[in-house]
Amino acid sequence: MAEQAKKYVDPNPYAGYGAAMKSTPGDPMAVEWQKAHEAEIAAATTPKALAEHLWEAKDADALLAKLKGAYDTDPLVMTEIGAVTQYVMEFSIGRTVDCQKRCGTPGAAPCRRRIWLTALLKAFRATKDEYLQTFVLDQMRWCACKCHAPKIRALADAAASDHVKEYITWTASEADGSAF
Amino acid sequence: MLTRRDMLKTAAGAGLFTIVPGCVVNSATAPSNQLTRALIGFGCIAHSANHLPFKGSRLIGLCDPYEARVQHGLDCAAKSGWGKIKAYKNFMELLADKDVDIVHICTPPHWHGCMSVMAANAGKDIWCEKPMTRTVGEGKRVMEVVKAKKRMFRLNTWFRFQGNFYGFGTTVEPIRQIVENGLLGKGPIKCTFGAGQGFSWKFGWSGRVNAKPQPIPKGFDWDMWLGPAPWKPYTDHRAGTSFRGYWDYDSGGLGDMAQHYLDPLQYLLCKDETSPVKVAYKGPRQHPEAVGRFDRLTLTYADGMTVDLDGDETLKEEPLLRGANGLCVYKKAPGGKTLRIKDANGFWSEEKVLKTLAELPKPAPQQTDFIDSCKNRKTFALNESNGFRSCTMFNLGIAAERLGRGFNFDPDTLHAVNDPAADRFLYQSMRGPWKKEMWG
Repeated sequence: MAEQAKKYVDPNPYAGYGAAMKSTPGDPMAVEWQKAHEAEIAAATTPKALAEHLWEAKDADALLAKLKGAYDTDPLVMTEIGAVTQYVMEFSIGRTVDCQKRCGTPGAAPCRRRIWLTALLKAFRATKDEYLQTFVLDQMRWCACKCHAPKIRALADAAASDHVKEYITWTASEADGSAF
Repeated sequence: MLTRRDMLKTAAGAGLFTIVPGCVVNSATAPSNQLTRALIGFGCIAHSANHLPFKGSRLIGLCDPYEARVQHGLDCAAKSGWGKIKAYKNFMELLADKDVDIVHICTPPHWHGCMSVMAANAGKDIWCEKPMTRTVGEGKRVMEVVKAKKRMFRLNTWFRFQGNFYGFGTTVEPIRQIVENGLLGKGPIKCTFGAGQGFSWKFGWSGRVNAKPQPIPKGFDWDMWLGPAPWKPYTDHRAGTSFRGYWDYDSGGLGDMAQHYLDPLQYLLCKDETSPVKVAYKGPRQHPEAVGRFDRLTLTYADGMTVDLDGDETLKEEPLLRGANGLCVYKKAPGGKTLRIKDANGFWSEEKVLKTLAELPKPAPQQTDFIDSCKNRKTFALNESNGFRSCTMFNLGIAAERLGRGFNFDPDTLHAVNDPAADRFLYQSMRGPWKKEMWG
């Protein structure tokens, strides 16, 4: 068996526990990044701070415009985006009859979820980066409403790959409740 | 001649208790009379002593989405005395093989639920690596299908029935004796799990926040490896041992280790039939993809019992169990032989601990031979039901980490209470076509 171990080289360099847990400059582990930026993360993700990204479309657009391709985005921006998605999930179920009746009704208060989803749809079309498209679809998967499903399906014409097209179909099924 | 395997298949299919005639028992060591096993996944875990040479069963095949690992597995199996075993193209081919009795699921956790359901539907008995499943919803589905198909299921953790319980210098049996016989008094028990009690939450199993996409290695089916998890461009840190650091596959040290720690706790607290009603979270906001750390997770049961998972190590001096009457249970002292018990007068002597335990009734015996379970259809000690409950303990914690807050849970309906956002984390759908295999 020891002889076997010497000859066999796992194609994945992180197959060993030690290598897997080592941080490298410019490529930190989340746990170290959290520790180094604890105060910034806390300040950026208070309910007040998150709500400020959702007052108007331009606020949401500005946050998502900070996404850079190929995993180059500031992790704080990624965390803020994930937190806004969760903030939106907390407000209105989105799939209730009452919410669907209110949505788009003249005079109704702007729906935070609608502002965020509109911005996410726009951010998807603004990039050709496969990873960024999957990240944006991730956010939609958590918080999209039934009313967003057709616009999500329409993203297929801008998909960076067949895998992203498949992801679009899945996301739309989460939105319209047919995912299970 | 009718072999034991033939008889078992018929009996298992009819859900009957098997009585094996003497003539078959006498030839039970013949390969044709051994139950057969096949491994799904030949990464790190499959190399262990439990998996290749496991006595009482015959290894007949394996599969892995890395071609190099398949070849390595074949070589290891030959060296371990199994001769030439089959290399299946994929796990679906493995499940379709009627010669396979037991499926051993050695994949990362995001596959455990779907493969367990598919294996049960294929008529296999199942040995699944921990954690049982990635979410409450998957665990519930596994439980339903395993029961409906009358399959035998076990998880690969064992501290509830064998082995010293980490630093306690003893099995969990004496601790259960203490709890079951009311030595901790009436009223809620407070449990603490962290470095002070001998348990590491392994925050080093974290994901990278800026890992770059890379070309997929030759001979690696990344799409199959991802399976039901969301598609992401390949990066080597998402595969291999480091999958542990990503929410999509495992959820860090909590997701990976908590079943080892909390399943024996659930057993010794006599909580196998229920789940916590509340989870509270204290800690930083999490990155949406890469797992970080938590400071404190607190699970509360309906009777007031609490379990604190001590991430920031501020509860290092606490005992494992603190009873309502002040009696406490600690891990053994360095050089000591058994766990320590303390009351208002101080620590008990070792003699008093041993004498007290000897006089207490022992817990009910457990079914600890999985091959015997499969042959005679006896539910294993750690099965789909109690395994689901202990898995739920930390799946609630993971949902609270990702939400950044706690929530209430109903242990009967198995849903978050009036909390659709929390429920979204407890019940997650799957990438197609695995969604249909899982949910029907």
